[in-house]
This record gives sequence, C-alpha cells and structure tokens, in this order.
Amino acid sequence: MKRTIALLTVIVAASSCSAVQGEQDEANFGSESDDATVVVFDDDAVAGDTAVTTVPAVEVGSASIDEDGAASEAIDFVSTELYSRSDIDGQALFGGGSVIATFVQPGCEFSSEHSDLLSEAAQADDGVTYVFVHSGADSESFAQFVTEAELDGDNIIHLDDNNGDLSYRFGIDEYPSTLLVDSDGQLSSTVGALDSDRLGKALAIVS
Amino acid sequence: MSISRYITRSIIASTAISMAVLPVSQSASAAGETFACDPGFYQVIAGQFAEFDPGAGTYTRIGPDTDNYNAMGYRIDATGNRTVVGSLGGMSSGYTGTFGDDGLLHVSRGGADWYTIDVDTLETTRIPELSKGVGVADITNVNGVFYGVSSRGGLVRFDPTALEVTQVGNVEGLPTYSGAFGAAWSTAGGNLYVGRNSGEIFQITGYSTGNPVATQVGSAPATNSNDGASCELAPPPPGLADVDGPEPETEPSTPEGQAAAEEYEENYEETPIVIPESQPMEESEPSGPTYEVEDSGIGSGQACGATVLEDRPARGPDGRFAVVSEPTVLYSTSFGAADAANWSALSGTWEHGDDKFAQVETCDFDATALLSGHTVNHFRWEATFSGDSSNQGGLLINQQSEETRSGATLIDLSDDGSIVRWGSYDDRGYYQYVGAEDIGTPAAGTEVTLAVEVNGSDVHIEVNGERVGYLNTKYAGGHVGLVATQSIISFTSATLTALPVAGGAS
Repeated sequence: MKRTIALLTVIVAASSCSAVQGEQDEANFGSESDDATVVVFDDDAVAGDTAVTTVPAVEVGSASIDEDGAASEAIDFVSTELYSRSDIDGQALFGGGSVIATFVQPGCEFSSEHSDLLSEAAQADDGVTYVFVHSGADSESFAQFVTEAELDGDNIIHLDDNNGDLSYRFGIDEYPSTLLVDSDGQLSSTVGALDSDRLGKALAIVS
Repeated sequence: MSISRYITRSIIASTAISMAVLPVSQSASAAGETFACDPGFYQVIAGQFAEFDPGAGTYTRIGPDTDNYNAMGYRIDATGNRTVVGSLGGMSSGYTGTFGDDGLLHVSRGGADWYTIDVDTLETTRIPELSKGVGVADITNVNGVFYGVSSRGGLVRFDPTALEVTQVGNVEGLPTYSGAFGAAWSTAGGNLYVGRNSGEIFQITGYSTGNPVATQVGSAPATNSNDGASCELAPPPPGLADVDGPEPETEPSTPEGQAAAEEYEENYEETPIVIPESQPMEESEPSGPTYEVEDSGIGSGQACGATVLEDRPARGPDGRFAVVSEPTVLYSTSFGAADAANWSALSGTWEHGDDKFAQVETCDFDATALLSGHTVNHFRWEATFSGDSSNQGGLLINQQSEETRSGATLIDLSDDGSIVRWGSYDDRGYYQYVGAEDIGTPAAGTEVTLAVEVNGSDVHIEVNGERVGYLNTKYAGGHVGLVATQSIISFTSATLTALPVAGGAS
C-alpha cells in the first residue's frame, strides 16, 4: 500500500529546530512558540492524501528591502569585529557589493558544513568578501568555530552578533542564512546551508 | 582571571586579545578608578561587567552593557568603563587569560598559542612551552601557577616558571558532559573556584594532587558569555564557602600572598554552603527595524532555528495523581500509529510509524513529547530507544502541564549516549544540571532502556535494568514524557506503571 504522510495534529509550541548555546536550557518550549508537529506514517491512508507541511509564522519587519531607500537604511548599522572588537560600518562593508554575508551558529551542524564550503570558496576567489556573522553563542565558541573551520583569510571578516542585533535587523531566524550583496549593492537572501550547486549560484549573483 | 598586580592596576579583562590592531592607543592607561583588592568575584556576563553576590545569587551591574567583553584586550576600571588597551602585534587571537606573578598578562586560546603581554609597553612574547590546546575557557593564578578546567571537567595546570603544562586529571564532582567553565577565580589562602557557563560555581580542592574534587558552592545566572576576575590576595566574597578551610593548599608564591594568607587564616569564619536560586540579569533585547530581504531564488538548505531565551510560567499547584494499592500499568505501548493521540509534541518534530515514535530534528535541545492523560507521583516510567548516529534520548517526569516546563525533571543520555545525566528546570524554566554517570558509549543503533522509579521526590535511575543514579527533586508529581537532544531518536516501547506509596501513606 502506498505510504503517505498525513498531518495528524499540530500541537502547541516550539520551533522545529532550536540551535543553541548551552545544555538544554535554551530550547524553545511552551505556548509562546510556534510550530512543533506530530506526523504519522499511515499505511492505511488512501492514495491522494495530501502531504502537509507546517510553516512557522514569521513576523517580519517594518520595512522591506525593495522600498525606496530601505536598502541603504538596512545596511546602515555598526557591528563589532570578532577579534579586534573594532567597529565595522555596514555601509562600508556591504555598500561596495560582491559580498556573501552568512549568519552562523557554532552549535548548528549545518553551520559547520556550510562554513567549510565557504572557506574553500574564499581561498579560491578573493574577488568576493565573505562575512561571517556569529550569533547565538559566546565569543569563545565563535573563536573555536572559526579555528576549526579554518576561516582565516584576507577576504574573510567575522562579526560578533552575540547580542543578536544583526540577526534581528535582517529577520534571521534560521542558521545558517546568507545575505548576498551583488555588485550594485542590491541585497537578496537564502536560508539554510549552501551546497556546491547553490554556492555557485550565489557566487554568480554577487560577482 | 585574577585582578592583579593588586591595587595599582585596573582589571584587564583578557579573555581574548586581538592579533590585529586595536583601535585605541595607550591613552587607556589613564583609565579611571582602579580596583581595590577587595573580596569580590567579578564576572563579565554577556557583555555586562558585574560583581557577584554568592549569598544572594545575584549580580550588581558595574558600568554600561557593552555588548561583549569576551574577546578583547580591554582595561576595565572600577566603574565598569572599558577602554581598549592598544595595538598588540604579532600574536594570535586569544580568549583565555590572567596575570602571572611576573606581572605579565598571560593569554592563550584555550591554552593554545600562549603569549605574555606587558600591559604597560604592550610587548608580546610567545611562550611555546605553555602553548597546549587543552580547551580551558579561563585560567586563574593560584599561588603562582595557573589553573583552568576544560569543558569536559579536566583540571589543567600551567606552570609559568617551570614552563610545564600538566593534565592534573578529571575533577570529581563536575559534570562530565561538555560545557565551558568560562570563569575562574582565586582567593587568599590559595582557593580555586570555577564558574560553569550553565551557572554552577564550584570550589576545587585537591588541585595540587592528582585527585581534584569539586564542590558546588554557589549558583549564578546561566550565560553564553562568561569571564571571571578576582583579586587573589582577597578572601572569598562574603557568603561563599571555603570548603577546606583557610589553610592554603599550596604555599604562597609571593610575600604579598603570604601576608594575605596569614591574614585570611587569622580572620577566617566558617561559611556554610548556601546555593541560592540565581537571578538572571535582565537581557537587553535587540530593537529597531527589521528589514525583509528579497529571496535570492537559489533555493534553501538545511538550517537550525533561532534560540529563544525566555522565562517560563511558574509551576502552579499540583493536580490529582493516580493512587493504587499495587503496581498498576497505566500505559504501555509499542508505538503503533494509534498511539499518536496520546502524545503532545511540545518541541521538535515527532513522527509515529513502523512501531516507533521518533524525534527527527537534529538541532533541537530537549525536544519533548508529553504523554497525555496521566499524572503520577509514585510511579515507574520506562522507555526503550536508540539513535541513528548519536543516542541522546531520555525521559521527562514531573511536568505539570503543556504550558510550562518549570519544575520538571529530565533524565537523559548525552555525549553520544555515553553518559546518563539528570537535572531539573528551575522555577523560570532554565535547566539546572544535578548529576551524571558514565555508562559507556553504545554502538550506533543499539537500544537502551532507561527507567526511573519515583516515590514522591525520590527518583532512582536505571539503565538497562541497573541502577545508576539517584536524585531528589524539588517538586513531586506530574506528567511524564520523552525527550531527545540534537539527535534522531526512535522510541520503540514505553511503560508507565503507578506504584503504591512507599510505606502505605498516600
């Protein structure tokens, strides 16, 4: 009998995948969150049942990047470089274009694989600036993450977003997520770890 | 780290020093008020410099919240204001540091790439003999020798005179699953304290032997960004116990240390161990506009969700519990599809099918499914499960409702299933570790049967039929459930049995 997946019920709480910085204490939980699911593999379900996927409701911001002036406003921020603690100006960083800015979390396995790929790309192509925005953990974890992924290079910049300001600014709620800044300074985004194919497409956009 | 060169210097919070150019010059040496060598434990928690009150488990903020000190070469004065020390050329980035008896700031990356810094001249010197990547998140100077604890609970000794690094051994009494000890403090009398980022503060005794022992003496807010500082010539802060008394475990290494130790012994008054429930500092929330960026159209990949740190509703009055005169099975399942209606998924993604109940998200901590319809306070709760690659499943007990996890208790496997650990959520819903036992790493796919036998607040823990642990919970009774952490876990059976009240009382 053909197997289908049918949504059985959607019950209270919590994001589908909560990455994190501590042991156990930060998982989304309880009535204030959004989208835990229970699905059932139903051998008796009739062919033609619709596979249902729940999508968390996302409240996005007060401005869209395609509104007049919003793009320049969006990159009008000041962030902190991970090591030097010096201020990094968003306009200077993104305004010139050809940037891949990726938001990563040390605790997320997908961030690690994704970063390895970007590290290789950064070594191969110095025409693109790679910005790693580190979120959701502490600076020690960030530093360890950078070391293990060998994310060193003249065209790699690390921002410390421990306070979540940049993630909040760009509505990032999944890691890794990536902003692409093309040569005209236009921003677009993609969610999730890049693979070779998608990285190629991303490079085509920003180059 | 320790506040050192005593009264004359401001704190240099040094958990990381840049290899590159720090943007402010040595004018920082004109920093404001300096610290007295008083008995304070200072911490930088998520960017806020604060003094810890161990008696109350609270912090007093000092100065502004400056995002994050924990990767820096800053000088912090007594008012909490920070100034960048200056340019530090020629050294690798670092996040572990303290002052030595030599007056130099010793900085490394968890022990790797060890440098000394003269904070007056900003001269840096690499010390290859001490450069061992041993994974210590902070170190402190105890009578001339540096100590730090690795995230696995191993004590490491760095001797800057002999230029030796020694793995002292695992510290008995520390959690054995990974977790950074981001703060280390030392006091007069050669006392060594460490703070785990999950909040517990331990004193480590026997650090000069091969058998160091940790005793929890305090509790602080859990943090993801942590650094400690103290004056090693001052006694422990009021309210903080010194479990082995005032006599120094190791000989003071300086005349100042000797005098401080003698003064401490003369004035010592025993302080009982009091572990108050810590009070988190208020976190500042991001604000301002959020910009929606157009999708690039290149598709999406696998991702982890964002972390949300939120207090949970407090636990309310207990409900009704099953009362039986002899052991009575309330629920037993091999997880056919019909069982789905008995479970509420509170977090993660849970799937029924093929005689299993599986949690399939790999980034989630404590993905939880709650069994509906039964509340118990004298019971046995047992489940059998395996992991596809990493078996980190477990049991939940004493959960009051779907609305809050506050007060609930977890017994689960961690570290790829090699450890069974137990702990409870506090009254604000934050997990507090209690204990753990090494059970050996099972082969991938091997089923484990985890059980708890509960009599009120007494909880005995069994793994594959063998008792391995015990805990006493703050709250008794409630719903039971299943949990999985960062792994795909398939539960193949579960049984809830109500038990008579031990001794016959209800």
